[in-house]
Amino acid sequence: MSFKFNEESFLDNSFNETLREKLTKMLNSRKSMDIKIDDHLSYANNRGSTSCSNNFDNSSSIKARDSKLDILKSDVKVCEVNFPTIPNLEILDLDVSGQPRALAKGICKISCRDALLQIQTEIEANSLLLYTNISPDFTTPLMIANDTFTIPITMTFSQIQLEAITNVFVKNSGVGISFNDVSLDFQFDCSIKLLQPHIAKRLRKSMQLVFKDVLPSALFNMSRSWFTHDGSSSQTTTDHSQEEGSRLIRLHRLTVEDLDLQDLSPVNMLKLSTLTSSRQTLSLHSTMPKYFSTIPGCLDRQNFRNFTSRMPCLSNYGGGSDDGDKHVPHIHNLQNKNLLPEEALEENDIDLKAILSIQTKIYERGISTNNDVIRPRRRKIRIKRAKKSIVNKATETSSNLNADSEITPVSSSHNATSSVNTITSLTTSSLGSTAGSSNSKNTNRSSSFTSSIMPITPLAQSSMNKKDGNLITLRQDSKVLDSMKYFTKIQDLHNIHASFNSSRETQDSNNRFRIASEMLPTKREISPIPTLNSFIEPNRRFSFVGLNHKTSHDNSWSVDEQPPPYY
Amino acid sequence: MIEYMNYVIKSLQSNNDYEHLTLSSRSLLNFKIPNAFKFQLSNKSTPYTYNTIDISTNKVINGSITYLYTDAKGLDKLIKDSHNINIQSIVETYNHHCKTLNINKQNVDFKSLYYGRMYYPNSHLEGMIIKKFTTNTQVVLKWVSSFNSCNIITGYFQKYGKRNFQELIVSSNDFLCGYRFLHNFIEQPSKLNNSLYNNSYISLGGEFWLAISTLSPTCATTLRYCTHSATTGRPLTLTLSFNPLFGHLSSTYSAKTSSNSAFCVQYDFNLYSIDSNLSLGCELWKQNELIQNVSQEKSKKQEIQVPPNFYNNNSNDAKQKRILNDLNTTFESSLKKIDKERAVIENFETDLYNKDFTSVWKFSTSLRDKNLCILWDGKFKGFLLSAGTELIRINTNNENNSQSLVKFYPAKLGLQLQFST
Repeated sequence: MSFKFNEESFLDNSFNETLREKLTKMLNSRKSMDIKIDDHLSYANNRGSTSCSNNFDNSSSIKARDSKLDILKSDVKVCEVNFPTIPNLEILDLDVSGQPRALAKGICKISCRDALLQIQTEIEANSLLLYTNISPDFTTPLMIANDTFTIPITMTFSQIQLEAITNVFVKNSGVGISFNDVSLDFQFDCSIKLLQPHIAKRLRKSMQLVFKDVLPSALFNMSRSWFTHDGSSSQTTTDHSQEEGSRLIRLHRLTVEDLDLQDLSPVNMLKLSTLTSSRQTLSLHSTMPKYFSTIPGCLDRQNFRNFTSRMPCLSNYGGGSDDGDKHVPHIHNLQNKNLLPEEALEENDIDLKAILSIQTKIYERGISTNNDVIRPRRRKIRIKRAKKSIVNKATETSSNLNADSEITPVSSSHNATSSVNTITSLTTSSLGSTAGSSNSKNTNRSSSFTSSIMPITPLAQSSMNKKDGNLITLRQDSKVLDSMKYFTKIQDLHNIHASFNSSRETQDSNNRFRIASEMLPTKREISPIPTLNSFIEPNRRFSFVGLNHKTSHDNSWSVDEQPPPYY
Repeated sequence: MIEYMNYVIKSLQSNNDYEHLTLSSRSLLNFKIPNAFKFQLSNKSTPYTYNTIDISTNKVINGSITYLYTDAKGLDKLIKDSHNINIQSIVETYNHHCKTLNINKQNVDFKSLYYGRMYYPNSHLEGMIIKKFTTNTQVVLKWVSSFNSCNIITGYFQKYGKRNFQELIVSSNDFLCGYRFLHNFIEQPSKLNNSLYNNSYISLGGEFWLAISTLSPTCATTLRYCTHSATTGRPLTLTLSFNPLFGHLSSTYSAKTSSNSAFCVQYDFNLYSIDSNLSLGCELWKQNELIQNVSQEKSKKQEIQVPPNFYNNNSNDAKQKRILNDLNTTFESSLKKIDKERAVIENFETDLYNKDFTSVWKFSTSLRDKNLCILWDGKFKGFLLSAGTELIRINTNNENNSQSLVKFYPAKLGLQLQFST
C-alpha cells in the first residue's frame, strides 16, 4: 500500500501559516514555563529571603543558578516559514501482520526540500550581568554602568533538506517512530556573525537529540491523543480490517490507489467485519447441527465436522443417516482418501447404488458452484464414441492397482472391490478434470447431471459384473437429487462464490489441485482453474479431498479433531 | 533604612572609593524597599561586640542571628542607639561630602573586623572579615555558604591613598576578577588651589571586570563632579558613567534643593541600541516642629562674619605686612565674596547636621520600568520604622481594545521595625 500527501492542502499558504503559529507557540512555551517556575521561585524566595533581608536573596538566586541562564530577553518570533515543495513520504516496507506488539510496522522514507525558516528574538549581550543578577548580593561586588544590552538576532535556515529513514510502529496506544538514518542539511545565517559558528555548532549537536529523543516522543504523545480520542478503535483493535478501514477514514489526506480498492471492496469488508463480530458474541446458535454457521456464507470451525459428515464421500458410506456422531470413527481413515470404510469392505456390504450416488454428488459439487466451466456434452460424446477404450483403460488401471494392492491395507481377497474403489475414484477425478478443463458454459443443471452420470455407468458396469446394480434408476434417485439440491440451492454458497469469483480466476497456484490435474488421464492443459478458497468455502475445498489421492492434507483444522468447545 | 550591622560597618569604612561614586543617585533612585514584616533587635553588648536578632514573616517565619566583633576603639561612642540616633546617618540619602560628618570617622581606627550571620531555618551562612594591614591597605573577605552548593567567596584588596584608591577583587563565582581605581583631583589643597576656598572637586574612576569561566568582560569609567551652589550653598552632584563595551551612557544630576529635600534625575542612553531611560527620584524630610523653631532662631542669630583680612601673617616683617595689606585691599571684594560663600556653605552643612529630622518620604519612578517606589522612614518613640511599596503598572487589555485599563499592582510591600540599645 502506498499513499501520498494531498497536494491541495499544501498549495495554499495556510499550511505554512499554521506551522508558523505552532512553532511560535512551541518556542515560547519554554519561556512561559520558566516564568511559571520563576513565580514559584519568587514564592519560595519570598519565603526564604524574608529573613535574608538585606541584599541577600540567597535561596532564589541559588535556585535560579541551578536552572539555566536565560539570555533571551523577549519572545521568540517565527518570521517566515516556507515549504515550497510537498514533503515526500515513501513507504519502503510495510508489515500488517497481526503481532502482539504492533498492529503494523513499516519503514518509511521522509524527504523534504528547499524549506525556509526564519526566527527572530532578542538576546542579552551583557552576559556578566546575567551572572551577577543571579548571584547573592552579599558576595557580588557592585558594578557601575553595568546595564542590560539587548540585541535583536535573526536566524535564517534556508534550503533545508531533510531525508530520513524511519521505522514506524502502529500500536494500540499510539504511533512510534524512530529515526534511523537522518541527513539534515541547511544553510544557516545569523544576523550576528560573531556568534554564527558557535550557534551552528550547537545546533548540529542538538539535532541529534531532537531526532533521537524529542521528535519520537512528541510524535508518540501526539498520536496517543488521537488514539484515545475515539474509544471505539481501542476496543476493536484486534480487528485489523476495521482498524484499517477507520484509519483510512481518519486520514483524509491519504489517497488509496485503484489496485488497493479491489481488495478493499465493501463486500469483503462487511463480511470480515461480521465474521469477527460474530466471534465476540456468546451465541450458541451455530452449535446446532442443523446450522453450519450463523453468518450466511461462512462455516464456523466447530461445525466443520458436522459439515464434513454430510459431505458426499465414500467414507460416509454405510451410514446413510445424518447423525454425525456415527461417522466419527471412520473419518480418521478417510481424511485423505475417498475410500470406502474398511468395515464396509469386510462385511461385503457394498451397495453400488449408494456409492454411485456419492460419487455423483462429489462430481456434482465440483461443478455445482462453477457453472461456467462445465462441458458435459463433450464428455458425453466421447463416451459414446469409444466405449472400448475406456473399458481398456479401466482394466489397465485395475491391473496397475492390482500390483499396488499388496501394499494397500485392504486384503487381497477383496481385490475386486478395491479395484472398484480405485476406479470409481479415478473416474471422479477424470470427471473433475473434464469439469475443470471444459470451457463452454452450461447453465442447465439437469443436463450437467446427466452428463456426469453417463461416464460412470459403463465403468460401473464393466467392473461390477458380478454384482447386480440397477443403474438406470440412478437418475431418478430422489436421494441424490435432494442432496444435490442442498448444495445447489443454498443461495449463500452461491453468494460466497460470486464474491470471490474474481480472485479465484487469477489464482491457479493451488498445489493440491495441480497435482490432481496432473493425474488426469486426459493430460490436457487446464485453463481457468477454480481454486480452493480458504475456509470461507469449505465445501469446495473438501471436494478436492476426494479428488486428490496423493497429496497430504496440510490443513490445520484436521477432520479427526473433536469439535472445539464453543465459547 | 540601613540595618544596624551595616550602620556599624559603614561608620568604620571610608566612602571614598569607586563603588560610592554614584552613591547619591543610587540612594535617591534605587533605594531598597522591604518586602515583608520584619522586626530587628540589636544591641551593643560590649564596646567591641554587636549582636542582632531579627524575625521576619512573609507567609513563613524566618530569622537570622548576626554577630560582629571589631577591635575599633571609640566605636561605641560613635554608634548610637535607636532613641538617640540621627536619622540621617541610617537612611540612604544624598551623600554630600560634609566634613563634619566625615571627620568623626577618621578618628576611629581598627585592625580587624569579624562578621557572621546565620539564617534559620534556611541554613545559609554569611561571613566577612576585614583586616587592616596598614592604615591605608586592607583586605576584605566575604563568603556565602549554603546547603545547595552555593559557596562563594570573594576577596577584596583595597588600598587608599591620599587621592587615589585602588582595589583588586577576586571572586570564586565564575572566577570573576576585577580592578577598580579612583582618583580625586581637587580634594586636597594643591599648588594650583592653595589659597582660595575649595567648594568643588572632580573624581574619576574606572573598573575592569572579567569572568574567566565564561569569558564575559565589562568595563566602565565614571566621572563625578561635586560642587555647591554659590548663592545658596547647597550641594549638587553630577556623574557621568560610560561603558564602552556595551555603549551604555548614564548621567545623573542630584541636588540638595533645600535642607529638607533632595532631587535626582538619571538619564540612561545606549549608544548602540539607542535604548533610553529616564528616572526621577526625590526625598522629603520632615523635622521635629519644636526643635525646628529653635534652630531657626539660632540660624538667625548667627551672622555672617567676614574676617577683615584674609591674608594674615604673624611675622613682624613690615614689608610683608604691607604687601599683604595691599593684597587684601586689592582683592577685597573677591575675597569677601569667597569668604561669604564659604560661610554660606559651612552654615548650611552645620545647619543640616544639627537638624533633628524625624521622618523622610522617598519617591522614585522610572519610565522604562513603569514603576513607582514609595518609602517612608521614620523614628517613632525609639523605634526606627521603614515602610514601603513598589507599584508596577500593568496594562490589562480588555477584549474590546477601546478600553485598556491601567492598573497599579504592588510588587513589594513591607514594614520594618528596628530597635537597638
